[in-house]
Amino acid sequence: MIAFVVYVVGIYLAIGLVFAFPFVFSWLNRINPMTQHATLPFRVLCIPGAAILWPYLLIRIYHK
Amino acid sequence: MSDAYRAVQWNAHKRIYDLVTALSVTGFIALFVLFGRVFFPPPENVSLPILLIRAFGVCAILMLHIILIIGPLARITPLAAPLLYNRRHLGVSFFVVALLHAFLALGFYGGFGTENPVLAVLDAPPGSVPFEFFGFLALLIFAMMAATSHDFWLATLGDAWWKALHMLVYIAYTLVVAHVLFGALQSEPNLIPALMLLLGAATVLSLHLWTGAREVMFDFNRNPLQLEEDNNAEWVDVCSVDEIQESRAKVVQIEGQDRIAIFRNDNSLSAVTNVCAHQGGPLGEGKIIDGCITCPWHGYQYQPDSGASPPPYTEKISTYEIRVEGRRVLIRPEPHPPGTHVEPVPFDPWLNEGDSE
Repeated sequence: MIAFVVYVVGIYLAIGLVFAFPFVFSWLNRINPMTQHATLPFRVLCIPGAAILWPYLLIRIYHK
Repeated sequence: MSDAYRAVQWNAHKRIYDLVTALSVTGFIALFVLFGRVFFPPPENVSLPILLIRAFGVCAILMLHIILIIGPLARITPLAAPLLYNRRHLGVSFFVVALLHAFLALGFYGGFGTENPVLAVLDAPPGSVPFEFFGFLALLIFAMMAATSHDFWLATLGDAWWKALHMLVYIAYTLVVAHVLFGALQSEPNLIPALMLLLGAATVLSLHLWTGAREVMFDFNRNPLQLEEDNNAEWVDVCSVDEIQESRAKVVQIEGQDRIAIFRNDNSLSAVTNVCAHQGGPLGEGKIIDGCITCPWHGYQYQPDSGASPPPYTEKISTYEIRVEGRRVLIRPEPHPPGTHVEPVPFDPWLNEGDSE
């Protein structure tokens, strides 16, 4: 059971990391237009959040 | 405040806050290891890796307790407001310390075998309490909170969802207590650590209950100012000008309305909603800084004559019509839309009741 949870979390976060990089560098302003001139440190700071919230962000981008 | 997004909007206060946090954590870890070496000499000597694991773990728990009591303390005494101002940095720092504790534990207890170290540590023997897994789940929650602590995520998720996610801290706290209770404390012969954990939990719980009860009492038992039954009264007498200190506010409650904060700035009065547009902070517990109403929670600012944040920021709060008759302050209960200009009302601070102007 614990092993199953660990593997699910690991796969989830791995997918999230793959999503996070194009999100923070290309798709960020689709979610919030005010990020158009966001700084590089800010974009890097958003990577963990994007990796965790990737399903929600994907839906937001799709609906945009 | 919402402008072109930056990683951190640094100011002197945040720099000092973070410096004190970093020095405190470093000092604590160093002292913990030093005391461990001094008070546990051979043959009871505790190895350095284990000392470091415990040092980061204890430091993280202490930080977590401080973070959890800052909120209620700030409702009790304004002295705690500076701690609340940059609490998110303290929260992220706490997560880093907790993460280091986890990495050290994984490396030391699971890193020298052939099995995946994460599974080696988390997979508890049958019949035992999986305290390591409790810690793992708590760390996941703290990671999610740290990753979404920036205002960008607050704007993206919306107030309700962001707050709901961050309220998971209480579940994480319970998991941390269970992690310690069924973990380190099982092999600890001394009662002091257990008593300290109990004291910490009791402090967190009692402060939350106490301040929660105070807020309920304020809203329901303080006889909110009544509107006249025929509702023709446009103005409600809310307080005396003498109750409002310079650069501070008086918070009043009118029946059926949000609380209203009446600020005094250069002997002029303005009335705005007491609720900050950022995260609902109590503006009336803040003060006027550089001519702006400043929220005590995160420093969001609003011009008192319009409720609008100074450019280039875009936040707005509702304003109210206000007037002064003698020494009495009157407010029209219906709020204006956020950002509406209402000219501040001057008054003579030396005028006594009954004097003619």
